[in-house]
Amino acid sequence: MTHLIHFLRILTVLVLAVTFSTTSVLAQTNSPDPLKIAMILWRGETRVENGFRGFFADRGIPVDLQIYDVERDLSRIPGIIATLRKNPPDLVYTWGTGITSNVVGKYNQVDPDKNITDLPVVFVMVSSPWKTGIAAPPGQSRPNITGATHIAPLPAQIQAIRAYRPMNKLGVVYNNGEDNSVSNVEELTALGAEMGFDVLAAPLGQNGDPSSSDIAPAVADLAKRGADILYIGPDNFIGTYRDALTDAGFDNGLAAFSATELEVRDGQAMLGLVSRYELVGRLAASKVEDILINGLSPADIPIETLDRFSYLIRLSSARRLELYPPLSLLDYAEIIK
Amino acid sequence: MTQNTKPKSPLPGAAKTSHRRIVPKGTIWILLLFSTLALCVALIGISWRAADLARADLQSEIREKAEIEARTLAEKIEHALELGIPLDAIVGFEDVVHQLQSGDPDLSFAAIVHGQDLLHVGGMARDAIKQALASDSDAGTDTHPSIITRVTLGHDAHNDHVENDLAIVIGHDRAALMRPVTDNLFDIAIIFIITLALSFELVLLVLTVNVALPARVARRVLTNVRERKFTILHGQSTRDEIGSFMEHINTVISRTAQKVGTRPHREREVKLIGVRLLAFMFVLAEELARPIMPAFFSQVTAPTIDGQLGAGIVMATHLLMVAIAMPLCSLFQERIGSLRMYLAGALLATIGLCGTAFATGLWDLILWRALSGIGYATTFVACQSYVLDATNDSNRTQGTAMMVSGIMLADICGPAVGGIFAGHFGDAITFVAGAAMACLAVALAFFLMDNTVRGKTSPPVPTRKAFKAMLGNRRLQVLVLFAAVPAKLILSGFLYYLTPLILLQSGATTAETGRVIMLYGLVALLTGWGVARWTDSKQNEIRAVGIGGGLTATGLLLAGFMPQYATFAVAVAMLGLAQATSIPAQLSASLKISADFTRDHGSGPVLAVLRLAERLGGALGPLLAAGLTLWVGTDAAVLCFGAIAAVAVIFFEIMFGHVPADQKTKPSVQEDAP
Repeated sequence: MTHLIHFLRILTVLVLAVTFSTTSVLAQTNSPDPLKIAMILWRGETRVENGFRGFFADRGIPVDLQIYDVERDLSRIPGIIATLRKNPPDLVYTWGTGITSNVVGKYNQVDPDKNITDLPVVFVMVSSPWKTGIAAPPGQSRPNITGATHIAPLPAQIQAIRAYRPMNKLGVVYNNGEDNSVSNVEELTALGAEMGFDVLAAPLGQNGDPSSSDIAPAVADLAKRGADILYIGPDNFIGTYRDALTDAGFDNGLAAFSATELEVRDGQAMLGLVSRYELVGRLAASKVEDILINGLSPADIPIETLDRFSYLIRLSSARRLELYPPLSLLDYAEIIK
Repeated sequence: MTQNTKPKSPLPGAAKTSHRRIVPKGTIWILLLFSTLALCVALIGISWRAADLARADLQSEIREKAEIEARTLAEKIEHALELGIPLDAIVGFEDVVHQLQSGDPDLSFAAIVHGQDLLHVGGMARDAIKQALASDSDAGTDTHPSIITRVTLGHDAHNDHVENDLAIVIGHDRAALMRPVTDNLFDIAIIFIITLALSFELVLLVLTVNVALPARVARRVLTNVRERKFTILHGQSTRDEIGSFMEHINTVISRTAQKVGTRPHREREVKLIGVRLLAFMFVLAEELARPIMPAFFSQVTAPTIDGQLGAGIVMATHLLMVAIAMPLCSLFQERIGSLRMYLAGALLATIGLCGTAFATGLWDLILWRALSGIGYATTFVACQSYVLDATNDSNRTQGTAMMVSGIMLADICGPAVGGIFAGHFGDAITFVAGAAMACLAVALAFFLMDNTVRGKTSPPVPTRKAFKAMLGNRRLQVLVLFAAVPAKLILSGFLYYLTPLILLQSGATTAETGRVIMLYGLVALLTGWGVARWTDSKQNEIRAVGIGGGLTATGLLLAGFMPQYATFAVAVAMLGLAQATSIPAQLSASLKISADFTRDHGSGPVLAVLRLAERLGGALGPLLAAGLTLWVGTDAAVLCFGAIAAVAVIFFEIMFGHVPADQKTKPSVQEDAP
């Protein structure tokens, strides 16, 4: 009897062991291939990519991310495209207006030799996809492109500035060579007529490539012209030399408002109405999920922005300029000390 | 005739004495005076105490609210200080105070104080706040115009110059303590007026039944004695002075009759005054829910049909049933009798109003409102017939006026009371209250209506030819089409449908809406007598009808162009004046125009035609209003009604002017001629 019980125990253990090992083998065999995504980035990974990765990690979706960092050099893009053609990924992820524009081309000037047309592309950090021609005009769509924009509507940005302090003259230093910056300034000028403010524009790079040394004189000039605040829009050049702009602002008693997060969070801009980069990355990742897992066509997925924005205040800049935030803003703004 | 023979004053000296005396002599007057004074003193005392308790209660509430507001401000300031913002560099304190004020209008000011210094202020100028705080420390707390609340700030770590006596001070307007009273001042005034009106009704009833009526009968009996006719009073059973006076007269007359060798007859006076209260009650039952009807009907019918249209259909059904039921009831009145007819009508109204309160959809709501309409028409005809049967040519106008006054009073009180009632208890309960009122009318009808009153002579039946001739009268046609129909169409469409709908939509409460609707009846009642006298003195009814139409058009166009609460109040008041000017004039004008017909066949058929046209116009009003609301919106619908009124009055004036007065019956005369 004792032997029988002992035998049964061994048998049970064996059955369980076999069942478990079979299940694990089956599970390994059934697990899907990771999504192969090529990420073409402007200056390495940012919080946007953290959010992008986080989205898939939260859902347990395996992804194989191939990072291509252009290191602020758009001339590297043709080489990257050639590489992708040799070993095509499931989807291409592009960061910023410059990269996206070079990878996919304008909707009415697509060159299949230079641009990617046969792979789905999801872009992030493109401030004005329609103005820059990356997206087709309303009513039309591009078959392989969708994405997430990150800029709050301009009227909301102006209201955010005015919630902090009165503003009648908005000083904008921008790179004249960047389409998104130029279109943004045009939109601001048109909005100024509606909302009652003047845009004092200081374009850089009108005679060749802009230089960081041009920034300080431009800011000083804006201060002389009576600018109430400096505006930092979606501009890669100004983003790169943001500290030069904010320092020049401090020297001239001018605070800076930013439409993008990093200029406040990592830079010295005093305030901003921004999309949080992590959330932008998650929004883009949801579109990737729709394309690669749910089988939707990029043309059927809207290009959109977040519906909520964060009001950021950098207190150190406020203290330096002695322009403290109004009490009512302290209730909902994120204060960065 | 009797007035000519009546002695002017048997005791002229006594009359003179009574004129000189302000307060009559006698124990009863002293007791009355004493009880009135005692009542006043008691009421003043109770009111004073109640107000005091309410103030104390409110003061603690305001203090709690003030503590919360001050704490909210303090937390904001502490947060700013914790972030390292210097106290003197804090920005936007005034804006935060304004935000608080938008949620609490009684908040006068707020300030950050440090010792005696005001660092930041909001709500009032710095000097004014300083003054308020200074006088707070000087004066007693109860007399100060502001209620001051102070909360000490806990933070002092990051600011070297900040001491522990840093505090938030906020001030509330002391007048806020009386706000519940001032907010309800209109409601109190309305209730006061209505209480007066109801008291007047009851006092009038009691005095008429117990004093005026017996005195009138006694006068008639004594007049009869002088003419050697012996009649004794019947039905007077009170044991007061009037009762014993009547008994004495009866005894004297019986003795005198015995001496003469004859037996006295019994004399009975009909209690006509009762019908006034009954008319008041059945109209009040219906009018109570007047301000909420369109919104309530719209809500109930919304699942089946567009709410606005549904409300229009339901209201039109009610008015249509009234229009149909009135002539039908007139046919059966002779057979059934006023009392039974009134009881049946009030019962139907009770069921209809009760059903309306709990209606679940369009179809059952239509059924309940149709029942209410039949009930309304039945009770109206019962009261009217009772008056006509109980009066003769000499007092018929007086009797009709008595009933009409009851109706007008209910028109005034109903919407106002109903509005307050609906605001406190809800829509359904307001209809139930109307049903309860109709039910009470059933009970009272037993006491107030005399079942022996029946019509003595049936009205003359006009021949078909005569009737055709009357309808062919051009001037009557113009009067009916361009004055009678538009007047009621506008009344029901604008006053009963559009006004409550627009006012409630624009944010007015049901009580405020009721007040505006009440204005109609109030103005009509106050101006009716004067306007009627003016019309009679001028003997120009047509002019009065035209003026009424013009006033209506002006008011409506004004409300259409400026759809605000005040403008609607003006328009409704103008409509009241217009209807008071036009409606009685229409009646007189119709009879004058149809003089040839009324001479032979009485005024009944002419009035029936006029009433039927009016009721049909009334039924059309809500339907038209609902259709226009759907088509062009509520404000434009008012404009359309204004335009209808203007066009109607212009056509009336032009066409009436073009039909010669002597042509009015010519065709019929020729047709009738052999």
